[in-house]
Amino acid sequence: MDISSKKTKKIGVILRQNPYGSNPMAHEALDAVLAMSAYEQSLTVIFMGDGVFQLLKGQNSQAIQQKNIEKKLAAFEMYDINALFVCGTALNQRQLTVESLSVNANILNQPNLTQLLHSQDTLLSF
Amino acid sequence: MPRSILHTVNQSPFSHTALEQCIQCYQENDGILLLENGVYGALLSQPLAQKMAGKTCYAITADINARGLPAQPLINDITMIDYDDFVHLSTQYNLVNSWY
Repeated sequence: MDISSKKTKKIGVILRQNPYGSNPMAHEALDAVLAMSAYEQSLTVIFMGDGVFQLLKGQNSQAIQQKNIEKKLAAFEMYDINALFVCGTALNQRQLTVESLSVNANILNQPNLTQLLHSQDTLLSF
Repeated sequence: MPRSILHTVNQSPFSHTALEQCIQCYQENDGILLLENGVYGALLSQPLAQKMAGKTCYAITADINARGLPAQPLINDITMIDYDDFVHLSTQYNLVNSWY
């Protein structure tokens, strides 16, 4: 058995939560993604629904005493997490453009987004 | 051969966007399982009832009964299953994704 030929899994992470509020899920989800990146699998992160609000530029969360999501997202590049996708429908619904976003993400139309989800080996939803 | 997803939805379409986003990501050969408050998606009165047509839909019987839904007009062609069936069902799809 050739132990050096590990099969990498394609892990799709779907993020649909708002960045702030009483539910700390957004932070915990990003922490999980950062932790997963250590295992050298093929990580794809997809922002859908209100999850796209995590990507807005210029967040200043100090006064609400919550850690800053924008800063945590900035760490993705350092961790080599580059396969970031955003649901174009969600952006349009919220009248957001690529200029509004703090990360370099690929904007997908619905058919391509659906196809991307179906091409993963595993899906995790936060 | 594209992979098949079993989508599980546990929130009501009257108050959450889970079912709506699930339907947008549904592809032929996928399935939708309604459970917990997601079973309100089985009501004919729900805003996305038309969009459920032609899709493979399941619902957890215990959740449907708990909420008194059998007395209400429900969408056709939803297969009622129990949790043991759910386990079996999840092995018949390549992927399982929870919308909540």
